[in-house]
Order: sequence, then structure tokens, then C-alpha cells
Amino acid sequence: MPLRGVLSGLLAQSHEGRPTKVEGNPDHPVSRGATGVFEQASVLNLYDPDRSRSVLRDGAASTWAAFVDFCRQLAIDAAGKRLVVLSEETSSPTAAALRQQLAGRFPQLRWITYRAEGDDPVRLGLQRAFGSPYRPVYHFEQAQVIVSLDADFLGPTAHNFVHATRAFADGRRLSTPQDAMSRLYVVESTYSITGGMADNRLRLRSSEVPALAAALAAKLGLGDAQGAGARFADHPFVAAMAADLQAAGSRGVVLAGETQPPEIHALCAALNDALGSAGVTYLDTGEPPARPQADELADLVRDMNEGNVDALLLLGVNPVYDAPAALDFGAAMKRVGETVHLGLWVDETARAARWHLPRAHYLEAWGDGRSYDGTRSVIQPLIAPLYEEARSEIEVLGALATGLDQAGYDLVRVQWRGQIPEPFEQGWRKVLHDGFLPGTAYATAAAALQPVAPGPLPTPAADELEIVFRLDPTLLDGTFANNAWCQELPDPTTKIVWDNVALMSPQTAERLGLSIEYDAGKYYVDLIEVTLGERSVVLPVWTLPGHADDSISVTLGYGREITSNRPHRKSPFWDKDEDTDVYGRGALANGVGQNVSVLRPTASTRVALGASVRKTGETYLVVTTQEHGTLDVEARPLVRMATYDEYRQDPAFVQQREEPTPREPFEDYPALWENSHPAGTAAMKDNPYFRNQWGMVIDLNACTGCNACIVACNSENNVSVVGKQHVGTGREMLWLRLDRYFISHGDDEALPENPQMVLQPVPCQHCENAPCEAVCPVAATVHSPDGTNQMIYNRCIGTRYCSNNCPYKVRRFNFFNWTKTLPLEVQMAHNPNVTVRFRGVMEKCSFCIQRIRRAQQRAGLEERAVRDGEVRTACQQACPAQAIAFGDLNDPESAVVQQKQNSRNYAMLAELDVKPRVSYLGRVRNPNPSLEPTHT
Amino acid sequence: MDTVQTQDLAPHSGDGYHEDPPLITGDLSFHEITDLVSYHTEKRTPTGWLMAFGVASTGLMILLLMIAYLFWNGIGVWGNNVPVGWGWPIVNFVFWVGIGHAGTLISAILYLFRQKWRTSINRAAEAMTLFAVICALLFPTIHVGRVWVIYWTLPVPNQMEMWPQFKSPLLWDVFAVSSYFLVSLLFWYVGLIPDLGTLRDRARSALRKRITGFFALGWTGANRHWRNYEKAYLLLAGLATPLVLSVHSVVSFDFAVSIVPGWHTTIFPPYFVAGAIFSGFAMVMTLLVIARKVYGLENLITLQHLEKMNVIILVTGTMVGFAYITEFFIAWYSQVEYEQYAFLNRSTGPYAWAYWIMMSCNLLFPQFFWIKKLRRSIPFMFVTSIIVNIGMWFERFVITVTSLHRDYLPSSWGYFSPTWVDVLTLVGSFGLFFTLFLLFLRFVPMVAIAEVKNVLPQADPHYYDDHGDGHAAHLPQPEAPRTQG
Amino acid sequence: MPNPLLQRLKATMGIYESRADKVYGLLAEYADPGALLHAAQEVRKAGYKHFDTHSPFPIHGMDRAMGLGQSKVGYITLAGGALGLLTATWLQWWTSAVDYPINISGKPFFAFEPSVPIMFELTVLFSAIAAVAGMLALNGLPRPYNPLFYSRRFARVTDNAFFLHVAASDAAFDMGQTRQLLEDLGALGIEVIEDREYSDI
Repeated sequence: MPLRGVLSGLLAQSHEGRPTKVEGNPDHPVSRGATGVFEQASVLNLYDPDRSRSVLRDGAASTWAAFVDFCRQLAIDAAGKRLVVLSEETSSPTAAALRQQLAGRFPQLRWITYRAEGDDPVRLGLQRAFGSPYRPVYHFEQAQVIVSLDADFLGPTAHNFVHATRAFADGRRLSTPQDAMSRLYVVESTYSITGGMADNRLRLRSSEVPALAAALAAKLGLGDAQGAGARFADHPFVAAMAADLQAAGSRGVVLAGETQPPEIHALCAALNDALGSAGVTYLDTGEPPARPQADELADLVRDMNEGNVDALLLLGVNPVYDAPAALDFGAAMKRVGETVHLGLWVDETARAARWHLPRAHYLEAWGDGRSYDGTRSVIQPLIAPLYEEARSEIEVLGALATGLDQAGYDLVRVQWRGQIPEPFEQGWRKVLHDGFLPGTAYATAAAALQPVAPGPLPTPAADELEIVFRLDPTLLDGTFANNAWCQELPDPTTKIVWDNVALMSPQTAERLGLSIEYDAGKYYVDLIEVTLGERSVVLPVWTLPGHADDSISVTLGYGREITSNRPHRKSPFWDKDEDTDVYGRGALANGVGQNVSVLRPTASTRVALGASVRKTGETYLVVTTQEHGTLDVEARPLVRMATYDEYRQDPAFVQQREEPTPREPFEDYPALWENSHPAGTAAMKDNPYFRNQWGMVIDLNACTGCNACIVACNSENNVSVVGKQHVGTGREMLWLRLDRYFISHGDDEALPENPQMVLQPVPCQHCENAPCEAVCPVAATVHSPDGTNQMIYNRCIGTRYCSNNCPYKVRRFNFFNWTKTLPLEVQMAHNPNVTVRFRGVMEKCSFCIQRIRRAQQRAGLEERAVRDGEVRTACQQACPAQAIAFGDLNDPESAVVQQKQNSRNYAMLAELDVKPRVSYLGRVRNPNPSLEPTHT
Repeated sequence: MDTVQTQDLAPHSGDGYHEDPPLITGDLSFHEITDLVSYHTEKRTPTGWLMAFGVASTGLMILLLMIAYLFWNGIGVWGNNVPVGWGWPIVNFVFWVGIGHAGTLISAILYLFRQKWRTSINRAAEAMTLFAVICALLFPTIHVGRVWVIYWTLPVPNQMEMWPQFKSPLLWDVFAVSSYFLVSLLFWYVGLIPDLGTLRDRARSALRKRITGFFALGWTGANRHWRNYEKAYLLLAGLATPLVLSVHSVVSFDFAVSIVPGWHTTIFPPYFVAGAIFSGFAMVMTLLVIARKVYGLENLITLQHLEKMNVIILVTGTMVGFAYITEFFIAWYSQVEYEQYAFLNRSTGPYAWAYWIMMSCNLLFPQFFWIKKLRRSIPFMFVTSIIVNIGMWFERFVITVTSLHRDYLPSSWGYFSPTWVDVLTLVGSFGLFFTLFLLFLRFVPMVAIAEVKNVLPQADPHYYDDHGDGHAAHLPQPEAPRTQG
Repeated sequence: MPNPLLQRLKATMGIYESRADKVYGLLAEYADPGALLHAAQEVRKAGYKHFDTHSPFPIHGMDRAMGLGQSKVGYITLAGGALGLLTATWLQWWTSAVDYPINISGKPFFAFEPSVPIMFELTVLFSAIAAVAGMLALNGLPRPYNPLFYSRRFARVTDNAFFLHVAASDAAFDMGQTRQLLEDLGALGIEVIEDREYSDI
């Protein structure tokens, strides 16, 4: 799947010709079988009922043929035509080749790569440092000390997210106390999930981070000419980091985040160089140094306004929506003779363009690309385009470059000839089979570092408000705004759904006199007008403990306006369909949240200073999936933690937190019904399923809380989306949730300013003595011979007693007939192996029973036992951190049994004697003793 | 002829039958009692009744509309959610079942204890029981997600060849409440047979004669029949008594058997039963205070009756209050975080207002009945009886909702707010209740005629030893204890 | 020719054969319960079997006066209860442990503890039904047709009148003597009940 100029190696699952699920390609060197949020969610984009279906010319329906004609017209005296291509980042070799052809035809071709969030400071920074835009690869698994300067490298929006998460987790796994464990320092403004994994965390305005970086550099002997770092020169945190890095030497890594200016990235390169860090290598993508996008865009708009652009081709970009309002890109487009837009939706830019071409989804069209490390892949469609007019970007480029209507398949094959060893057909088939061409990764750059003097660094005043623009962890830049799964995917840290907010620290909110009212289970927050320069946006306020003071974090991707061809649903007054149908109000994305990119002064602005906030006096309902966010681990040790040292001293620390004071440990109590336990009876033993006893272990040390598992679960199990209103009344349907707790010690209400945050995935725990089963009057939830707690939908009458009696509250009830109103397209995304649940029945995590049974059938046919790792639950398969182990408890060799023997293994609420089959590995933090406690 | 004896009946007369003040005042004769009661089923329909019935049946209409709306759209029209899977419907269920306890209790237990005073109120109380249980049965039925397969809770063979899951307290409920309903119905009807005979024999129109005659089963008051009849009635009373106690215990199992903090407690069965009697008597009080005024039954349902009931309200109310306090003690004593938080949250959390309404209505107000003046003040007892029922509704609300909304995992804590459908459904259930009760008042003898006659002094043969013509003077005293109170 | 055994059974229910001349029996009204009790005693002394008293409410000592033994309803009820208990036990055991055993919360397929509530409920339910059904059976109810209903004044039996009825089917019945006896016992009025075999309403 191509995303933001990087291809991720996927395997897609298809039913009756419908792709329904994607998984990482286990052989692929980067993904190694894992996927992120957006890979999983991309399936639903394919079936988005609001996708554009036909070619539009000046808003009126036209045809692809007409466009091809247009291309021929355009080619007449092409030499004189000033054609500009504004393209999304693409790594496609075919596209690159076509670009050459196009340039050949239109000598004055200008090709600008556009990113919604602005420049890639990493590239620019490394460009500074090395002279060419190298691509860094971090080997966290080898690192001993990791310093993140506002870098959310574990966040789902990180460029190399899957690989980074895997590598980081590998450096944190502890099977024995002897295992080493990396230490992560995070300096950041908002509370990212990376911050959640931090061993030592400092909350600091993003605009102050450069100064801190400079101070760190100074401490590490790089000098600090302008004394930019003076303010942090003797900050204990900096001292500690410096000392640790020095000690770690080549096993230390420093990296900066996308909010940081290129200088800082260059500085980090210098730091790593100084450390001789083996934690990072640079790839030479062979791309030429590029100008900052902001400048390019500014020039372009100027030229457009001056009428110096004859034709503008917009490939999968939406600048009218996400370019800074200051540029007023929409107006500029009007000045261009011919504007062509290719996109999945008739979006803001499509409406402004003269030509709109419906884009083919990557699962519909042939294409190719290179993954982060450069490995080449061919993208193979699994289904013909749902809408016959839809074309891929290479097909459009082909038409423009040659004036011929060539199929993507041919274009790609032509391109790949010569790329692969002869005979071509064989090589081609192998590539298609493997999904990638091995050994095509970028060469590692011989990093010849050029000394860089950090330019003038911003020095914000003490209480100057900064705004930090970030990609949204669930909607990205808006590409997934019309995706129901993503809209209802809780933000990893705030747990907010269906909205973007102005995020700030409680202290700042208090200083600004902003309030968040909790009333009858709902949060009514102040609407504030955030002003930057002469532009302002009205946003609901939200506070996040541990957020830097005087800093406001906002996310892009909201406030979309997509033209939908679907009418609003109207139903008679006695019928609630109108209000339960999330697809019933036109395009999903419309009217959800606010577009904050209008605030950005330039196209590369990530951090802006001098913002002001005004209370509008109105309040707004913000909906979260988690009403209560703090956890007093002393009283309720649901999440069990220790520092690395404590763990070394007492590997079994999790056991000592056994729950409240039965004098002897409750394990010593006589087991219930041990003589007459049904599991021991013939009725169960004779059952062939009895051979496997399924169990799961979740390693809280590896899990970063990236949400990939949740989307994977939705996709695999046809989990319904209920919309903001019903999430607000507590009717969300997520089978797997990530509980986010801010840890408080002793007092549940009072949190430290910089509390520790943990995320805990909670699926059905599949208790052996499941409390839900005993209370069901009709035996609709029962225990299977292979030890899973099963929900029998067609037997359920919906008393909801099971949900009441579930101590983990993982059961979900169909309060309405959510699936009744699903558009046909969305129904096509359903997994046919999983029942679609009807109104009035309970549902919950099934351990992906359909996968278990399929494996057992296969094993049965081949007359063998089910192999370890043969059954993988959707969440487990997606997890980039490999935090979830699942398997047969009867198989002593199985990974899950190994994990269960880990000394950190504990069961949540074990004292209830429900005997959960899901257990957790206690969290171990590795803080710098000189900084303990971090929570100050 | 009929009223002769009553003329020369002096208060001091008889061989010591009125140590206590007469249960039936006004020196009524057998015939006067018959008239007094039967009259209300025979007179022309009074406008007052029609108006009341209009209001009640409007409520019933609302109920039916709400149920239709619910069935069409699904449970989501209520405020229920996760974690609060049970909201008002179950609250209302327990509330109505509770009310449904006084009737059979008054009839059965007081009968066994030879409480003569019950005879004036047991008929109305039993009727109230039946109607309350009908309301109660309604709620668990409509609160399931797929009401069209509710019959799977009964052991009937079905296409899945599956049976109900007998370990579930909900299933115990199904059996307990429906048995309770059937037994109460039998008990009530058996008690009615002689009075139906009365109505039959007084009937003027042929149609009325046929209808009443049909239900009277050809009753002739033959002694051979009285003999079996009384035995059966005694047995029914003996059976109904443990049943009454069991039903609310089983209802309480719905909560006590679960593992939800605030539900999982052994005190529930006795405490629920006490609460049931408490609310039940309060409801009987509310109804009788009105009925005796409207129907001029002050002589049958005397202040003495009402006072005795107030004493029971006082006692049970105090028991319930004691249970509330015990729960807190146990929570503290258990040293279990979850248990302790559940109760702390009840009294100080988002639902504290409900908790304190419950406390004041159930524990505080009944205490005024220690004062005899208030115990015998009609307006005061009327107001209190209503307050008590409000309090008992809130008790069920507190138990059901506040325990669920915050349990083990703070991440899953939630909040329940009712919707307009919740509210109107509760209102409608009162409509159903009063519709049935008004029909009862209009068409059925609201006081057990035969039984009341039976507690009159002149009902005893030996009363005539020194009255009337002394026929029975030389009869031996019966050494067998009176089987009829 | 009706079966004599059946006749005797019906007699215990107070259902008697009328004579060939349609005479069903003699109905005497008495002033009050005391008088009725006395009369019943005497009539019994005089050796009558097929007689019964009718009153608006049960009268103490009347069973003894008429020489009637204990009611049989108790035994029927006991049988009903036993049946209920067995049904409940069998139902729960067979469905959950034999016909379709399912692992529920890891609890035994069948155990007594969770089965008690339903055992109890069904026991009570079945007993209650048996008690009522038994009572009606022993009383020969429902009995919509009864010759006594021909008597106008008998309508007051459910109000405030006390009757003694001697059936013609009694061996000792003699129109003259019986009437005399009833009069001596202070009857306020005596009438001959005839079985007219039609309904007057």
C-alpha cells in the first residue's frame, strides 16, 4: 500500500472477489508481517460509498475518453505549455519514468511534491547535514539510550512506524532479568504514545526543544556558538541525557521529531555522528536535494495568479483544503487555464478544478513503489475498479505523457522490464508471488557529515502561546477522514472520537480560565477561538495531563467537505434509523471537527508562536470512549509496573501486588468444583477441540498503544460503527479497546503535573470460570471445549446480564440494528466468515474463532496437530510491536506457554478466581535514577 | 327477620368475644354487610369512577405506545448502555414485584397467624398483588433485546434443541415470579367463590346471573363444601407464605449471585423481602385510604386496621434502614477496594442525590409512626405511604444503577441517564395498574363478604347460647380450635 | 340404572338422586347459626345421612355436628407437591446434565445448590394447583345445575339465611316424619324441593 511516498508490503485477503482484509507481508523486509492503523483501515476507503464515481468536467459528468482527448489537445505545441504537476509523495518507479516522458513532452514541466502537513524536516535537515536528502533508519533494538526530541516515532503517523515500533519493542522485551533494556528519554510538548513509553519524560513546548537540543549538543561537546542552549545549560534532564548518551556511546541515538526545524535534525545527525552511533544508518534514496515545499508552493501560487501556468495537474493532493489559507490556493486555481484533479473523492480541490478524475484505489489498480528501505514491489489489484471511470495516477500520467489510453498493467510491466533478471515472465511471476523484489533496498549512504551551524533558534517568551500542528493519529492528513473505522477510532491518548480539539495542559487551561464540565456522563467543554495572525479557528478545548504548558496541540485532517451523491436518510418519526445511521448524513467526514490548516502561515509551519485564545462563551459536547482516565495503582493494580532495578531484584514483582488482603494468597484456596469440573468430563474430553486450549499473553512492555490492533479487529470481525452520539451514551462496539490510564499513587483524583501514562489492551479475557456464562438464562454464552468463552448470537435474547456481570466490561450490545442501514458498498467490506450481528444481541471478542476453526479444519484434513503460530488473531497479526502472543496452552513449546512462564506474567483481577485465559506481562520502566521521580 | 338479632346485641354481651374493640364497627348485620359490599358492583357506574378510569386507561395507552416504539426500534430507545446494562426496566420490575408482596402476605401470613383484622383488607390487597405482579412481569419481558424469542427462557423444545440455562438467577426469576402469580391468582379466586355466589343470588338481570353464576361454580354454601374449602384455603395460605418470602429472595439473587461490587452480598434476600413488605403495605395503604373514603367502608376498614398496617410499615422500614447501614459496615469490614468504593460512590458519587432520597424516604419518614397520633392520622399516613413508595423505587434505582455504573475497571466507568421513553414507560405501568384496579373495584366485591360475616360475634353458634331462643344452650363447647378466624 | 358406588361418591359431594316423583328433598330454614347447628345435630341423631347445611359462612363445630371427618384435600396437595419436586429435579438434571451438557462457567453440569430455587417454586406451584383442583373435585364443583336453586328463599343462603336440606335419596327419608322433625327443630319455614330439570333463567 502506497502511503506518503512509502510502500508497505501487504497481503490482501479476498472473499468472492472482494478484498476484505489486509495483513503485512511476513516476508517483506520492512513490514515483516505487521501493519499499522492506516494499512488496516485502507480497506474501508475502497468501499467508501462517497467515493467519486465519474469524470467531471467543470462539475458536469464527463468521460475518461473525453479526458484522453483533452490530453491530446493539451499536447499540441506542448513545448510552449507551462504544465505544473502538484503530486503527492510517490515512490513509484513507473511514475518516475512517466514523469521523464512527460518532461520530454512538456519541456517547461514543473513537478512539485506536496505534503499536507508541510515539508519533511528530516529530509531537509539531512540535506543540510549530508548535502543530499538521505533517509534515516533507526536501529532501536541495538540502542541503549534513545533520546527523542519531540519525536513521536512510535506514533501511527511516524514515517517508518511499523519498523520503528518493531525495533523499539525488540529493545524492550524482557524474558529474564538478565535481558538488557533500552532507556528512552522523551522531550515533548503533547503527550504522545512515545511519551507513554518513555522512561524519563520532560514536558516542554515544542518551540523550546531546539534550545534544549542545543544545550544537549553543547554538553556532548559539539559546542554552542550562539549560546542558544544557555537556558538549558544546567537543566538536570539535559545533564542526565548527556551523561547517559556519553556512557552509551555508539549505543546511543538522538532523534528529532517532525515539529522540529531542519537545523535540529541536522544537529541530531551531528550528535549521532559524534557518538559514533550505530543506532542509525542513512539510506541514499538517490533523490536530488529539494527546495522547501513552502517556497515551491509560494512561487507556484504566485505564477498561477500571474497567469504563468497553463495547466495544473493535481495528483491525489487536496491543497485547497490543506494548503495554508494565506495562499488561497482555490482562488489561484481559477486563474489557471486547465486544472486536472485526480482523487478518491470529489473534495475541496476537485470542486475547484476544471477536470476531476476518480482515482482507483490501490486495491483496484496496478502500480508499483518502494518501501521505506527502498525495496521494490508491484501493487496488484484484487478487484476491478468499482467505478469503471476510475484510473490510477500512472494511467493519468500515461495519458498526459503519451496521449494514449494505456492500462496500468502495461505501464508497470513496461517499467519493470529490465528491472528484473531475465527471463522476464518468470521473474515477473516471482515478484507478483513474493510481493516484492529482494535486494532492491537503497544503498546505505557513506555519511560524509558536513559541519552545520544551527541557525537562529526561536526563543519563545515565558508564557507565549504556541500552536503545534500535527497529523491526526486516526485520520492522518484527512485521507482517512471519510473512513468510519478511523473516525470512531479513539485517539490513543485522549480517547476522543469524531472530533479534533485544542489540546493543552490543565494548568494552561486554568490560566486561560477554560473549563471542562462533566455533567451526567458527558463532557461539555468551552469552545475557544484560537487566533494566529489574522486567522482564527473555533475549537473545543481539551486538557491532557503531562502536556506542556502554554502550548496548544491541534491535529489536521478534520473539517472536510466531501461532495457525496448519497441523499440524507429520512425516516418517519417512530423510526430511529435516521439517527442510528452514521452514513445517513451524506459524507461521514463533513462537519466533523475543524480544519486547522487555515491557521498555518506557511506550508511548512509545524509550530507557530504568538497564538491567542478567546473564550466564545459557548460549550460543546466532546465524546470519549473513556470517561475516567486515572488509575490508582496502589488500590487497583490492574496495570503492574516496576522499575528495571526493582525487576532485577524481584523478577516476580507482579505477584506481590495481589489484591486486597486475604491473609493467605487466594491461590491457596481450594479450587471450585475441582472434582466435578466439566472440563474433566467425558462430554468435553471426547470433543476433538479439547486438544487445543487457547490462551493469550499481552506484553505491556512492548505494547505502545498504536491502535493498529483495534482497526484490525474491526476489519476482521465486522465490528459496527455507531457514531458520536451513541458512543457518547456508552454504546461503542469495539471488541478490543486500549485503556489509557494516568497513573496516580494513592489518590485517584490528584495527578502529578507530568503523570505516567500506560495503555493496556483489553480484549475478552476468556475466563475459564466466566462470570458471564452462569448468568445467561438461555445458555447463549458458553464455554467451548477448547477453553474459549463463546457468544452464540442466534441463541442470545439480549438480557444484558452477562455484560453486567463481566468484571472487564468487554461485552458489547447491539442497542440498535446498526447493520440495517449500511450502504451496499460498506457491506462489501464484511468478512463473510463472521456473523453480522442483529439488533438485540450481545457480542464480544471471540479470539477470532473463525481463524481457529479454519486452522483446525486444515490440520484435521492433513491429519496433524495445529502448529504453533498457525492460528493468529487479527490483533496479534497486525501488532507491529509483537506484543501479543496467542496459542495453545497444551503445547509446551508454544510461544504463549513460554510467555506465560515469564516471571512478569499476571492476570487482571485474578483475585476474582475467574481464571482469565488472557494474561499480561508487567510493565518495566528503566528510568534514570538520578531523575527519579520523573513525575514532577 | 334478618336484622333481629343485631337490635338487641349489646357490646358487653356474648361469652367474651370482644375483649378488643370490635373489628367491624357500626353493629352491622349479615345482610347489611352483604348490601354494603355488593352494592358497589351493582349500582350504576359512578361518574367519578368513569373519570378515574379515563385517566388510568390513558396511562395504559401510553404504555402500549411506548412498548410499540421500543419493539420497533430496539433497546437503544432507553438510556441503557454498557456498563449500565440494566436501567429503569429492571428497577421498575423489582419495584412492582415488591409492591406485589403485601397482598399475599396480608392474606396468607396474617391468616395463618389468625389475625382477624385481615378479613376487611385481604381481598383488595390480593387484587393489588395480582395487578402489581402483572406490571412486574411486563418489564423483564420487554427489556430483553429480542422479545420475540423470550419463550426460550421456558423449557419448551425448540429448533436448536437447547434448554434454558438453569444456573441463571434470571431463570429462577422466571419460575419464581410466574409461580407466584399463578398461586396468588388461585388464592384470590378461591377466596372469591362464596362472594361470587352472593352476587349470583342477588343478580337481577339474566346476563349478570349467568356470568356471576359461571364464576361461582354453583356454590351453595353447603357445609360439606365449606369443609374442603376451608382446608384448601388453609393449605393455600400455608403454601403462599413461604412463596411470598421466596419470590423476593429469588429476585434478590439476580443481584446477589452476580460479582458486581454492591450487588454481591448475602444480606440481599432478607433485606429485599423486608423492603417488599414495606413498599407493599405502603401501596395497600395508599389505595385503601382512598377506597374506604370513596366507598364509605370506614366501618369495615377501620382506623384500627390502618394503624396495625402502619406499625408493620414502621417495623419493616426500620429493618430496611438497618440493612442499608449494614451494607456499609460490611463494605468497610471486607477491606475490598472495589466493595468499599462501590458504597462510597453510592453516597458521595454522581448518584448521591438518589441515595439520599432513598435514605430519607425509607429510613427517616416511617420513624414518625412511633408517635401514636401520627400513626392514626389519615392524611399523614397517606402522604407517608406515597413517600415510602417513592423511596423504595429509588432504592431499586440505587442498587441497580449506581452499582453498575462504576465497577472494577475505571476505564469502563459510565453514566446512565433515562430517556423520555423510560419515563413514559414507568408512567404507563401505573396506568396499567390502576386500570386493572379500577375494574376490580367496579366489578368484584372489594371486601371478602363471607369472611367479614364470619368475624362478627353473631357468626358463632355459641353466641346464641344466651341470645336468641337458646336452641344451642345445651351444646358442648367445641374443644377443637376454631379453624376460622 | 345409575351405579350405586358412583351415587355414594356423589353423595359425599352433596349431589343426590331425586326420587321418581321428582322430589329432591326437604329444605328447612333456621333463624341463626346456633339453631342450624342444633338442628343438624338432631337430624344426624335421627339417623339421616344424605343431609347438608347451607350457610353464608362456615359454622364452627358443624363438621362434628354432622359427623363429617377430616377433609382429604391435604393428601391431594401433598401428592401435588411431591410431583412438583420430582418434575423440577428431573427437568434440571436431565436438560443440563444428560440431554445437552454444556460447560457453563466451569460449573458442574448438575448440582443441587443452583437447582433449589426452581425445585421449591415448582413444588409450591404444583401443590397449590392440586389443592384447588382437589377441593373442587371433592366438592363436585363446578355444579351449575342444582335443584336447590328452584327455591326462591334459598337465594338468601349466600346472604344471611341458614338452611338444612335433607335429601330424598336418604334411606331414612319420609316426607311426613322428616318434615315433622325439621319443624320440631324450630324451622322458620320448610319447602319441598322438586327436581324440575329445567333452568328458570
